[in-house]
Amino acid sequence: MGQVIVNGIFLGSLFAVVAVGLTLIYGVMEVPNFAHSGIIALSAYVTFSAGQHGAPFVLAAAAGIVTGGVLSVLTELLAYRWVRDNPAAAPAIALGLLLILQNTALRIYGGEGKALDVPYSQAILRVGGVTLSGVKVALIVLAAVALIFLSLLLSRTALGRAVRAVAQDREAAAMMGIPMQRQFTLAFLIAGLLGGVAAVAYAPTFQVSPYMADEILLSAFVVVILGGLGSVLGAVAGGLLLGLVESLGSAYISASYQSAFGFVALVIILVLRPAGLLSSAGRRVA
Amino acid sequence: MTSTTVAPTRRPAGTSLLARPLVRHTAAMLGIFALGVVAYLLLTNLQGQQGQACLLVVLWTVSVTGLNIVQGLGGYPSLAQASFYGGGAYISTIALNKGMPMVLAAVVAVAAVTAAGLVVGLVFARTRGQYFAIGTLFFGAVITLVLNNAIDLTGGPNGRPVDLGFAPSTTLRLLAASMSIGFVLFYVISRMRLGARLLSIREDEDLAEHLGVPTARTKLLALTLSATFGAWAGVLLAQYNGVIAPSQFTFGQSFLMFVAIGLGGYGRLLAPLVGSFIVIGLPQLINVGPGTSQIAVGIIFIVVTLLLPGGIIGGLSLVFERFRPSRPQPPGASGSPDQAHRPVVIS
Repeated sequence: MGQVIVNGIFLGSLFAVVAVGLTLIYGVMEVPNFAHSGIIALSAYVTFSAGQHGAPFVLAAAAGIVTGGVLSVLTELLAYRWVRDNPAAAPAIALGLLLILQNTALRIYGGEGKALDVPYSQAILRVGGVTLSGVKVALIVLAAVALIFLSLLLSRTALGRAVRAVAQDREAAAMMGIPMQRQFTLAFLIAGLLGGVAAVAYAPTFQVSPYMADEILLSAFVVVILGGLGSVLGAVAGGLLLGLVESLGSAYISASYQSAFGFVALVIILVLRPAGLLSSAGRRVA
Repeated sequence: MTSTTVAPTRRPAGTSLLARPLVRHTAAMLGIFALGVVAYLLLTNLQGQQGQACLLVVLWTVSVTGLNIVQGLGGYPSLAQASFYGGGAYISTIALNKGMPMVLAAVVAVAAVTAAGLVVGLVFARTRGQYFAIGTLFFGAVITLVLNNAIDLTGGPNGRPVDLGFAPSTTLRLLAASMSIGFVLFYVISRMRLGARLLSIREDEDLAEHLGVPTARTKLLALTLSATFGAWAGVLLAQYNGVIAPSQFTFGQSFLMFVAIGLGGYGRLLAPLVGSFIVIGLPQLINVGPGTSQIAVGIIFIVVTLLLPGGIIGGLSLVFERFRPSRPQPPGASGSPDQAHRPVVIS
């Protein structure tokens, strides 16, 4: 049981890091960023090939994370920016970008999965009866650090206040003289960097492939709905909850259907609480 | 929906024969029939790569015509269409394998998938805009999981063979006929009250609700219909292909069906044909490797979305209007981009 819960926390941290990026972007721009999973895959590939070329792991990881940020900002500059006033076109743009990013990865690196080795691959942490691989510990730690840093940024700095203001009410924020363009770019930068963190931390437990992040992205979207939009705390709470649900489901019911339990959770939430679990007022889900 | 485009414009007598509804409907039916004949001739005469491309385009056109109801008319991005397509293929195959006659197997498959569409609709038809996209996307992912893991029934990731139910020549005839009948059904639906309600939801869902449009029920019906179309296309795919595998029905395929509608033009009658040709036909014909063609589709799709919100057909009809000499037009219904991005007229 303890093992299952720890696994749930591992999954939950992963979902939370991805979901916070999605919720930020959705918050400021109302874009369901399906392209995020393409960005995660490309970040992982950059880390992988930097490692292949002999770069030390820290450098390779940093390169992957920066790649995430740069790519994410590029998607905003080249595509999303131009549909800002027409949110109905956003899913279409997101899917087009996903096609481009994933197939770029497919084109450069081929379809078969690659293993990303990290210095802490062999490490194993034992506490009581619970064992946890070093990779999973690293992911939980990285996720916690990134999210604490982000919440400090959002709550304590002028930059963060501006992002939150835009997420709450775009028109009002613009009237208060907040430079909108910068907030959009900033949201995409943060989301991309978090995506890079997720990629580097998660790839060693799985494999590097163009479609490595698809299922995580789906779960992260459920987290976004669970936690209410635009709320970092909601995304973290929702992420941990969903991580536990999927971990319990795969341990006690069937491991092959792990992400299906997320779907069941989504259906139950939409039937019982159509506005999400922690949603503050504002946007309508249903 | 602006009142200017909806109100019938009074045309001077004799400007155009096509202005008369009866003549226009008849012309449309004849055109659809002609398309079916052309499709049949192409299907029976093309060989190899070209034949395969033509077949896939016709199959996708049938499936995407269903999607065109919920996504094209209603503006609701359903990302589950490939699952309905796959459901039709797998259920008909399994039923046939259990000894049912082909016609019964096809009916069972279409009915079962339609019921599944109804259930998906009951849960997600209440959700708004992009939540609907996420919900249907997730449904598609779960179906892919089931197809991969329920090995006894589906044969797992490697797929399973399909027993021959229809003779190959029958399948080809059914394919061409289904495309035409699908177009006719879409033409009728888009002119019925259901079509008008869907259009009003696409334009402004809150306003539609205030005006008494039962939005949830309308979306539910549209999604269920799209499942029916998808299932029938899947039945035909299985019969023609002889083997089916989960990779044919992933949510990547659902994305591409979504893209096909956007490329053709939301709610346009021929959007499924144009979109399917670009999305699935061209990559078959121009052999540049799987990755490259998909990148190209992605770029084309984004450019079309940004520059031609009415899709390729919408763009063409704008050009066509421009070169037409002085047709009387209601103010504001000209080719200004503001009006063009949500065409109310379905061609």
